[in-house]
Amino acid sequence: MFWLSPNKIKQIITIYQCIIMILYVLKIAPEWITWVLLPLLAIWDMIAVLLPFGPLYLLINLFQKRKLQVPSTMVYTTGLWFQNQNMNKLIRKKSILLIEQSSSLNLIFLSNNTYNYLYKQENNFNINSSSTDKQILKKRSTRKSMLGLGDFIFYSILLAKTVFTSECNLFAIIIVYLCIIMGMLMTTIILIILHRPLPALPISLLIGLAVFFYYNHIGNQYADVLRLPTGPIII
Amino acid sequence: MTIMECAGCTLIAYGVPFSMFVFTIAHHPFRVIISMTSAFFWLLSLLLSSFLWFAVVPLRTQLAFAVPFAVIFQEIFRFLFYRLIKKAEFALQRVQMQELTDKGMVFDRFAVAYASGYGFGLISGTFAIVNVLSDMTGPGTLGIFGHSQDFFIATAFLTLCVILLNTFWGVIFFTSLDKGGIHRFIGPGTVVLTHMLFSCITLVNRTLTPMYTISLIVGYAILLGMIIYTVVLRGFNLNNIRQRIN
Repeated sequence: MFWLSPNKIKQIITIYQCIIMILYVLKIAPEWITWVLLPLLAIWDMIAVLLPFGPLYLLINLFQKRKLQVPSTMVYTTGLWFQNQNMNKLIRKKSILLIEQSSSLNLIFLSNNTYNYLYKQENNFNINSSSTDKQILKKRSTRKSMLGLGDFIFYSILLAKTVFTSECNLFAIIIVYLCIIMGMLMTTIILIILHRPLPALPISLLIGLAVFFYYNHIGNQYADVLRLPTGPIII
Repeated sequence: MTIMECAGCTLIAYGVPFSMFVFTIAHHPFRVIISMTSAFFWLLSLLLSSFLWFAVVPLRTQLAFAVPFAVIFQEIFRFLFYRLIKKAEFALQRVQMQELTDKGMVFDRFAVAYASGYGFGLISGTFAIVNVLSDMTGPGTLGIFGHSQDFFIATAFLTLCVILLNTFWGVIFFTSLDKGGIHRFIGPGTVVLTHMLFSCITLVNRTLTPMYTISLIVGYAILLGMIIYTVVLRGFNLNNIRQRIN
């Protein structure tokens, strides 16, 4: 749909879709829906991509048989490859007052691009360093890494839910962010080792959820004991 | 007024580490990854030590039980991270991808040690201060029930101390283990002992009006000692320094 627009427009549109989704989950849907939805999604992701009768597995095999390149198909209409150079997660904390529920929600659920191909496009451009004596050409390669839209949205839902459930406990937010990033890193490492399409959701979500629940109930008491009522005790 | 205090304490605690990040780590993606991975390892050690604290129910108020174990777990995870780095370096050397070295994924051992210590320190300091900072902007302040009024400033300076200390501990730990021989025991031993000393000194902050000067002075003295030890470990001695100055 938006293949031909500049990068900024694509990023704005995908972030906008993300915000709509998050606001639906946080305000309109019941309270417990995230905690039910995210583990089920992680399990579904694993089933759909890894097992031989999963739909995404069969789809990928079909693509490889017909030698089609995955992003160029228009099967997933809203399955945009989100090109992102700096993922700023701060946007979801801003509340937007009037958002209409759009019917693109169903499309986003369907078009859950959960296999983790990181396409690294290297744009080598030469930068002339400003030294007067010699002109040194430095090659800096900027990579545009792509993350599937569905993955992006569900990570954001997890992060947004932790903001509201933990009553803006900054450390819990930082921890969940770290777990999501580490989950992505681990998935990339496994991808390099195994060389087959992998789901991007389950590791990040499961680690993030486990750590968040643990920290919210137990780790928080530990932190409070160390800090209150007197004197910081630095471990 | 409270926002001023919050901004001040944030800059005290994060000013030096932020500039360290901008000048040394930001332009090297490999070091960023190492820092975040080591932060994750510290997080795991925190979860383990909080589990221990939570499990031993009668000793929950006696923090003198929980703190040494927290230190021990942190150092164990630092060692585990060192083993992970060694395995990764081994795997990278076996694969020997030329394109990776062109992109700058060179394995500089000192940079890896520095980045890992920095990651540990950053998340450790964040644990100590970030909830204090978010509460600081609210109404009211400390000191009403006889508590010390210097809580915020002392926390900020202690956080700065612990971030820098962790950086140097990381360098000492990794380079000592790399050197081998007698350094394999002196280096990590020093790290563990000084970490234990620092954490247990902050236990004296538990009284109602604590004297923060004790923990601050001891902390910064340990920091100075660690700087000197790192410099000596990396091969500088007095002659070198004299030659560089003149």
